[in-house]
Amino acid sequence: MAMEWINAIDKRPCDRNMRDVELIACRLRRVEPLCRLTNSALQQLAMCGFYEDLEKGVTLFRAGEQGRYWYAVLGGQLEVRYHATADSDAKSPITLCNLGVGATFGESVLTDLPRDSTVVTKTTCELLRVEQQDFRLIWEKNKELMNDIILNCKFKNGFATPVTQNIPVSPTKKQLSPDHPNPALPITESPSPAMHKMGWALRTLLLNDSTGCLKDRKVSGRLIRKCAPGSELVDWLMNLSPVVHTRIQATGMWQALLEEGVISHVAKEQPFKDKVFLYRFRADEDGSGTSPSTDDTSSANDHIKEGLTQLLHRGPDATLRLILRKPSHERTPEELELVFEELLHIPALSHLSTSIKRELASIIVFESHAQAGTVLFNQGDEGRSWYILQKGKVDVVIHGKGTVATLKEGDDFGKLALINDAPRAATIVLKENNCHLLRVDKEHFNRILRDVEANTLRLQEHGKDVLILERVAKQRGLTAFKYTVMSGTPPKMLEHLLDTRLGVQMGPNDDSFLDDFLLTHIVFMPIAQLVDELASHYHNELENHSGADSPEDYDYLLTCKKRVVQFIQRWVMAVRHAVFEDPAAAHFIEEIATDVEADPALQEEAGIIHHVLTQMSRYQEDRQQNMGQKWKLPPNGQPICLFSGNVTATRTIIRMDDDIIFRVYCADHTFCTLRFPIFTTAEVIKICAADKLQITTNRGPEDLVLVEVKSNGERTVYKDNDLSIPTTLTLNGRIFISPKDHLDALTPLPEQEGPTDGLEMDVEALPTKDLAYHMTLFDWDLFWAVHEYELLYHTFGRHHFNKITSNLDVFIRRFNEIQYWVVTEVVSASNLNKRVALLKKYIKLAAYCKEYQNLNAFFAIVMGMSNTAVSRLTQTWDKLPSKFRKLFTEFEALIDPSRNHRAYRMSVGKLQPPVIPFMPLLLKDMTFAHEGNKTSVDGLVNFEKMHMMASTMRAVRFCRSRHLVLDPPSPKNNDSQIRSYIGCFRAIDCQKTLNLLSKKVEPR
Amino acid sequence: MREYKIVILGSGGVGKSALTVQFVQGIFVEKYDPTIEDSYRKQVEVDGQQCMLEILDTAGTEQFTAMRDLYMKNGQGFILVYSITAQSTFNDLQDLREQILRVKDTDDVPMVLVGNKCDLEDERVVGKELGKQLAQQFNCSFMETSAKAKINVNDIFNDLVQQINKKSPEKKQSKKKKSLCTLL
Repeated sequence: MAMEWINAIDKRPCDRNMRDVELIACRLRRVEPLCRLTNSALQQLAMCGFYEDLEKGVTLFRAGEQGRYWYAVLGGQLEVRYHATADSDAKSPITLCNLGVGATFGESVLTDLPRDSTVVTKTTCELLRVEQQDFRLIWEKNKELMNDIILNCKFKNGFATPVTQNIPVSPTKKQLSPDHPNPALPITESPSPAMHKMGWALRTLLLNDSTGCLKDRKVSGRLIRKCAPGSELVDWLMNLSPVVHTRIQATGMWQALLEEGVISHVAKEQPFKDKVFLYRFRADEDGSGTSPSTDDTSSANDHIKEGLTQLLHRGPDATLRLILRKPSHERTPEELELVFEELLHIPALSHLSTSIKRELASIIVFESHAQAGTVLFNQGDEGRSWYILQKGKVDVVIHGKGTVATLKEGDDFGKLALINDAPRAATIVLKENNCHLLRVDKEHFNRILRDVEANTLRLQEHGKDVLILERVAKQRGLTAFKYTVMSGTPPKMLEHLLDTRLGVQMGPNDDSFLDDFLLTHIVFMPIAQLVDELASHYHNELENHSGADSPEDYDYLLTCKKRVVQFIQRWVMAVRHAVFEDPAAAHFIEEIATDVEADPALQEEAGIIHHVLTQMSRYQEDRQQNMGQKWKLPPNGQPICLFSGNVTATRTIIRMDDDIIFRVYCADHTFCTLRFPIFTTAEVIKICAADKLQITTNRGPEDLVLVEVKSNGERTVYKDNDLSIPTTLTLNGRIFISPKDHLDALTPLPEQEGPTDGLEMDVEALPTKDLAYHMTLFDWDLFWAVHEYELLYHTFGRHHFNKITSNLDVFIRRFNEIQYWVVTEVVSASNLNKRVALLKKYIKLAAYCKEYQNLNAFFAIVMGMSNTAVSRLTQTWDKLPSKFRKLFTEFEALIDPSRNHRAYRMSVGKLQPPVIPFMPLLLKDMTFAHEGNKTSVDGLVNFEKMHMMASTMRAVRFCRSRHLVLDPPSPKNNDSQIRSYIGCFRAIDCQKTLNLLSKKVEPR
Repeated sequence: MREYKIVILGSGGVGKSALTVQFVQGIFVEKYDPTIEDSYRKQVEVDGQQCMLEILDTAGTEQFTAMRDLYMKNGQGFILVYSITAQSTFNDLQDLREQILRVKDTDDVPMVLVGNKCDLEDERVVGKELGKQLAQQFNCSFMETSAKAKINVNDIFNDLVQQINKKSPEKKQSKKKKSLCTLL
């Protein structure tokens, strides 16, 4: 076996087959630090490397020569010499260092620089030699790892430059799991009492046996006391007792003894084999064995009778463990079948298909750890393997949280870091002696899981699911994949977010998880709870096992702080002033800022937080300036407009504590005028209006309700806890107050049915493009004021959040206003030619709005023209020039709702911002994402739903991601006139009235 | 395959969207993504014929009467939904029906009247008899359903497809003959 790989590497590279390459790679893998390379890198080295077996005193190359090869030391020692002068023949070179097994040298071939030193063998040496061009290729593909290895080697040998010292020492240096455990070695530190006794009994009987197979033998000139070939031991055991039926059974029994160290191969190179390899007892190896007495023999005989069955039962498991410790290419088909059958019984694999299990059978590895308290890996380490616990227990420990779970037989762990390419999220500490584990290494895990159809990952803490991830393809059709959060508890999702989506290692996780979370957390994790959690992550304290903080612990705590600061930065970026508006959040940011600025290790973060603070103070100044901003709901006209404050400012956002002035009517149409902050509840308005209007009922305010009466007479009762009442009114709706039992008495005001008092102007006289231009600017400001959160408040119900949706309400009203304005104007024109001219005008207006990417107004205009009151005017439509009719047909195709508004979705998908989107459809998407999916599933937040809702909110954000800048079509004097006109359209929103008017102008 | 456009109408809160989601996705799918093309489409078999149904649901857009009108204009069959637990939702239907007839410009429109939330018997305020009477007045069929308890959901759509088939039987498309390449 030992020579096999040399035979393989002695072949010319082009003659080597896969088995050869695997054999060579296997040998290289036994050398630290080469074992850290990926399998493919090792295979490449194995494919093109040459083997050098050199005598002592050979000079490999001299300083000043042009290098041709790169080397890795597999055995022996070399010396690196340096000549003080350029003349390499100078008398006394200085020895710089010695290179031992695992060292690599000669990387100057990468740069084409001459050798800077001379290398001479100090003992007989085994080297791997790689030609310059091959090495370059391998290095290119594995730069990071190779660099790490090379620098580490230099560092170890005192060549480290200050730069290399900053390179974090790869966590794999603490590597506990050898890539391939050696099946020739025991798995326990010392034999269990039962096996020890069994070993004693077998040795006693063997020594008394007449065949004398256990005897002193001479091997390659060396005397080995009391050893026996495996095959003879098998023969003997089969003769000893009728319970042993087959050679395989006997072999397994001996292996059971070998894996506990009771016997061993004389050179410790072989597990137990039914062959000529020699084995001896531990007692003879360490010299403690004595010659048995007659008493011993009889007691040994007694013991064998009882104990042999037990040993027989241990055989199969020992055989299996033996197979699982072999490299995959050494496992025979029969052995793989054995492993496969075993895998069928492992619960952690039960969801995998048969073919996956067959694949796993060849690569799954057994490893054991003797001591409780051993750390299998640390939080923050690079994840390299997935583990299944076969025997024993392990604790899952998280910094700051302590032991979050204890895993037992059958549980698995370690997947998370592999699939996310993230550092380990927890430390695993063995809780018992002699833990047995099955291990799947990362490269295999990734390769094999790619074929697994459904893959869900569940993380548990204290026996309950806390996070569920699912594998999805990164891009359709590609084999690359990533894991997304399906559901989880809010704190665990936040923790996962901080661990995997913030900090240095972004890489493969640049998905929308962070953004989704920031846009939707208010649904499942109110700000107060969020800042509490963030604070505890920031002020994370380690549970000190050892007493003193190690540098790793310090780094870890620093990383936690950095992540929280980055989170704040991203948070403010994502939802802007909504963060500062919340007192708890503002306070938290100030607190963190003080701490960050005081910590010299957080200089970069201090810059970030300073920027956030600047934004916050700018926001607060702005708030201060606009304090007491008042809005009014005009008694007749639309829309809601600014009553006081900074009137010239565009893009004014309606805020919760702004005041609004509005009227509340009684059944007899008397009214009172009220002024309240916008977030005032219906109940407060009701009580105040009742008082002002002197409405008395028997049972007080409970008997009264606040009602909207629409222009068509429809009534909608407000719930007492509803907020921002005045802004939610329909176009010509009015607020009424009424006793609950007398709602029928409420009738619309006469003014609600007629056109409201906007500017009476002839639309025809206004230039169409100017109209579209000013409408788009106006609508843009309204759209710009809508916060993404308002979509959530609107969908889930604003009273759940105690927030207002006024900016969205106003934007929604605007759509209806434009639509009814179009209808009102057309049906109010009694002259046929005027109507035709109006239709032409509106078709042109729609075209310009479309050009300006104001799709909301475009839809409103086209839908206004499709209203039955307009579409039934056949005389008018008939007189419309065919060019316009054709254009209108095109527009109608765009608003066609077929296939979920396919036409619109396709065309808006091609647009670049700024865009004013068709708002009703976004609200429909939000509604169905909400109604079609549960918010919580089995006690966990259904994050898929949050992702869907966030996607729609992102669509809104995308539309506004660039400011609207339009060139005015014509610099005319009537600009201000147009502005006042489009800001307050005259509109009738009662369909019956519109139908009547329509019939009046064109009775059929 | 013949395509049918079905419009679901009713006041906010009557459970329209729940009926739609229940019908379109059935029991097996856990996730409902409303932004994809097939979100509101479902293939069903009615009287041995495969049909593709597309549901136009105004849920979420009740504030926009224009959306309702647009859907009405495109629809072939109508489902008028009220909640048996809220009288006002029942009263609103009269106006809705008038609007449909106006938009469709005919008195004969395939239609089903649906009293939803029949799993909430304890909170019932609209009696079944009232529903039947209204249906008679509307000259349409009537069902009580529960999207939550999955009662009668598919039946509404079957009934409506049958009504549409009866009113306007499918025109037999003349088979297009493949023109053969002629060699000159």
